[in-house]
Amino acid sequence: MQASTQSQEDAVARSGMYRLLARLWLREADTELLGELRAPPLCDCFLQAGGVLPTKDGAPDIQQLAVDYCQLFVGPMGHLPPVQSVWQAGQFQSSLTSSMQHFIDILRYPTDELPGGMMLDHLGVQLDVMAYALDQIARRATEIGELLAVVNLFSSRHLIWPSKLLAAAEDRAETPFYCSIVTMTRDFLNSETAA
Amino acid sequence: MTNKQTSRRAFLKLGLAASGASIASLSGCGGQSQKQSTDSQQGQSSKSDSPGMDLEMWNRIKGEPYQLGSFGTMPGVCQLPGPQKKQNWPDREKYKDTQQIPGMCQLCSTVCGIIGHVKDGRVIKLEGNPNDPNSRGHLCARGHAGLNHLYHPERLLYPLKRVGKRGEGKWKRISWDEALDEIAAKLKAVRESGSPEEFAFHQGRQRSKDALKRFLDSYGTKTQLSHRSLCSGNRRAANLTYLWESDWDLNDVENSKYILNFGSNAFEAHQGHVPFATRIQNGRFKNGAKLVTFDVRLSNTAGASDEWFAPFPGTDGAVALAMCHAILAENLHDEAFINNWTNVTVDELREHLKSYTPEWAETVSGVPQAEIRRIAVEFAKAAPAATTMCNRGSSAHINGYYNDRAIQLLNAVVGSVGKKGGWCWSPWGGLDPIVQTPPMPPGAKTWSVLEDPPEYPLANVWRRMRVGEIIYLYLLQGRAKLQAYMTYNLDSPLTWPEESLTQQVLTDEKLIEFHVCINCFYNETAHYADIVLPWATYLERWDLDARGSYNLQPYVGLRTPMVEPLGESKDVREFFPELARRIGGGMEDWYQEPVEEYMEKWASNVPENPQTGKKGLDRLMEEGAWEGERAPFYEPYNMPLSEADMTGAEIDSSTGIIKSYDVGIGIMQDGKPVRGFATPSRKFEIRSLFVERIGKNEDCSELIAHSGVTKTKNRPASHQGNELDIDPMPSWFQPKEHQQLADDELIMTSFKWNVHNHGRTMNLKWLAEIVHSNPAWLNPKTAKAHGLQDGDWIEITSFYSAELEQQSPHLQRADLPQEGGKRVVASMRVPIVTMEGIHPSVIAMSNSCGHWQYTSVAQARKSPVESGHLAGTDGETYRDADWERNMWWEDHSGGDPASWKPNTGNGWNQNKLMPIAPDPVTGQQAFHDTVVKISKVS
Repeated sequence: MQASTQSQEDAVARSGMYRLLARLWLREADTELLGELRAPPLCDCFLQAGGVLPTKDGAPDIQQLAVDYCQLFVGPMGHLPPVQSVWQAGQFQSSLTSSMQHFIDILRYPTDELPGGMMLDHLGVQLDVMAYALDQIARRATEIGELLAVVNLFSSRHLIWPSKLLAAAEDRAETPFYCSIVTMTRDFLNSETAA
Repeated sequence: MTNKQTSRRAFLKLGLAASGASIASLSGCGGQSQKQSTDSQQGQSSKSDSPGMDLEMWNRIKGEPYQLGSFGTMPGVCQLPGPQKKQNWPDREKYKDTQQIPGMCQLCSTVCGIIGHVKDGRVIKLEGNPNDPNSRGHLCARGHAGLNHLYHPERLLYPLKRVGKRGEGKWKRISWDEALDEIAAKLKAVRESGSPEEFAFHQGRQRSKDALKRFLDSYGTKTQLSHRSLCSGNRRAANLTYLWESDWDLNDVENSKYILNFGSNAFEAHQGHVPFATRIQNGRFKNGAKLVTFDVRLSNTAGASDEWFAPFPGTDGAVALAMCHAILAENLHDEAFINNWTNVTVDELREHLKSYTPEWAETVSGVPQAEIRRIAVEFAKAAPAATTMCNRGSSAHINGYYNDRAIQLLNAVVGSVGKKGGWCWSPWGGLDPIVQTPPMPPGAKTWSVLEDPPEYPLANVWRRMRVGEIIYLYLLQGRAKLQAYMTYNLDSPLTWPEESLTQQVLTDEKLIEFHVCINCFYNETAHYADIVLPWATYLERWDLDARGSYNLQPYVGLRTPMVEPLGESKDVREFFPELARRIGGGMEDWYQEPVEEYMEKWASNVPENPQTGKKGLDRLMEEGAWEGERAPFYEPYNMPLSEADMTGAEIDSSTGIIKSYDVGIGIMQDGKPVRGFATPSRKFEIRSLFVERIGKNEDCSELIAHSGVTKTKNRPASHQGNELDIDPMPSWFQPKEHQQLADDELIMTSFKWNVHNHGRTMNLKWLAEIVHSNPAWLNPKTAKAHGLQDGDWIEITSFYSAELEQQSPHLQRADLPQEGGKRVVASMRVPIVTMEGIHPSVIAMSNSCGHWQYTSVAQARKSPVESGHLAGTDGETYRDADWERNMWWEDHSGGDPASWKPNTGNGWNQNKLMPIAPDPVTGQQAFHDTVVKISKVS
């Protein structure tokens, strides 16, 4: 089965969105990322999609964003680990991690490019796996049906869970930037489900 | 912030822009597919690069979709064993096809051998390793709860750097490179300042001795602080006084007929815990041994004993001396052992013990003299298969050194020293010496008052026991300075005395300029750090490890990574070399090989198993532990010296001491050269001239030479001017405040439960469910006298020791409030439980409870706690279904006694009430002597 041009474009766009969100969830924002988000053509698109950019004059600065990211997702206490096992099994490394490993193996997703020590069921990884799978759909001439089936199953198992995380993070974010990222993630995942 | 639903079109537009922009900063998350995506959009096929999907795997598993969560077929890991689970237990399929990896527990100091069942890269069960010669396959509740430790949702996973003020709780994540660069720069500056001792390493429970020593010695600081004085200093010093070669008695209880226990709670918390407890029970039920316990509280050990007596606190030594007196009076002593193998005669001993009568002991202990005599006679008649045992119950007192010397004396009087079933020891306190660490750097030569306080003469003469509880006070007094402080598996604000002082010093950046905390979890110590490094758990790292084995033979155990460390957590074996390379100056030369290669070298002498053909590390990786074929260490003093030993040796005609090159190697006994004891007299030293002289800073070089234990320190120059009278004979005194205890005063004691260690296990939900709170125990008579009933709340006010005010003026602080002429330590409000199982003059609270900066479980909150800086007020957060269902002990009273429900909450930090109170001889913290007053909270 060959994906149509329209569906290829759609897959590329969705992949790009998943990848951007993956980057935002996997690591703190840095100067380089903010620079690119502030530059065209991303800047307008980012703002139109609900993103809020820190002002160029440095308020809030990178450190404030790092502190916000840390208190939200890293710790050391009272944080909201963006990890599926934590939210669904109350611990790290539940059977959900094994499930993620299976999908990663099936898709041959390159985990060596992830930041060190990353949990496989971290939301950032899940978003990136989805981006990778959609890439495959966009460019492959064969196995499209199987890939779509994998994507659907993956999505149903590993991208439905974060609603509580996102609601809590939206409340707890101290910077408009991270608040908008959380909101953007929630709205995008909702739109994916609706689509 | 915004509820506006952004249109899907906007997302797709952003996605396309992001995809086309080829954002450099997106690399590191699917960068390969990013490239492919861009190529695809530009019509440039990169299909040849595509690995494609694994259709075979997909087709194989898609028909049987992977089941998720606790309701699926994959084994869960950390579920509480609720009613639903119990119905389905044991699940025979759960451990099918698991990989079994040996390791060693480290949730207490006993280090039992364990096996981890690993499936899909996850540890799903821990159990005891039958190959471990000491623990023999047994594992306590703590050990089983290691899964909670490994997969705890609030584990530290990344290096953190403080952003706000110290103690404010505001952090940012940093990379390991950033963390190590900053730490190395600071440590390098400290070293180059010419005062390397101003870098202190402060450990809690540690089992990587070689790794810490390598780092600190290669750096050049000897300021390595420990918690030994909070634990076992007096017992060790008492043993060393008698034996010199070992600080650790290994009571041969499995072969015993009579076990006389002074205050040890071996069934719950002893350093030998499960290996010791199982042997005690074997001794009782297979060998007919009687267990008699003296303890102010009916512990689980006391409750399981054949007889229990509750003496007045700190009088164990008085009872023991009276028993010695009674045994001699009844002529049930071992005359031959005393005369041949101790350095006093029976007559001298009788004379010394003349005043320590059972009648006298009754007046101070409350134990009836007839019972003291009866137990003494029973003990003597069972000898030599009779042994005492003791631990913090007798040791953690201002007079603890004398308590323990008195208790150990009983074994000499009945001649059970070193005998089968008697009071034994082993020269192998750790690993079998067959394994040798790869070359170590020479020891650092610095000195610090923190590491070797001159006021405590026996703290460091034989072994480095240190006096940990004084360090924050000495820093506050300006007696030492710390440019850099590295804490490791330590929770001093919770587990050490004077919580407020500890917090005050840890917060003060002038007193501690730079603090790096290494831990698996954020805790009360990490809260005051500048950089927090995430430590790998004991299930994710390497060690060779062993304890003094109750088999009286050495062994080698292996701690090995069962799984990869979570997140970016690392062991010190991994990052100390990196730190050393950054500090430079020769440190890096001591780190030549990767960790596994280092372990291979270290374990290389473990011999081949003829059945498997495996040896060295390979053998340990398969079996977990190895024990050689040495004979148990019975009666070592009777071991003959060989002809080779005697070649060139000299015999002192007056003492019979045999010396080779002026160092003692043995003694003539019945005309034959034997090993004897490794003491100056080559005998069991009831009278110790050494302790008498070293207390007065007199020259002991000849005594040390005779002992053969030549590493013993001889009157360090730094101790001059701090002379202390130490009785050369076992004796006993009662602290002044206990002699004058007023009617409304009580003595506070603390204890551990069988499911907790002091400061690290309250975060484990399986254990916290069993014990999470610690109301104060009071005898019903005491409660009635104070107008109290079970469940009432009281205010406890604690006081400094009058004895130490006199003996240790260096501890005094003028800034403390006074009440009735006594200096007040702290006050605290707690509920009480009344029970007969406690001495009427005692109030007891367990430790382990009352965390305020540890995990949600440790704080008994269903929701992860909110740090002070968090803006959000919404309690919505992640949920652990087991925890939700089973954590019934969350306290909703808000601290209001009127609405508090029994057995809810996370308890109170009992140590807050404890003053800094080191035994003047050894420095061991007197946890069980504090005088308190109580009043009812209305």
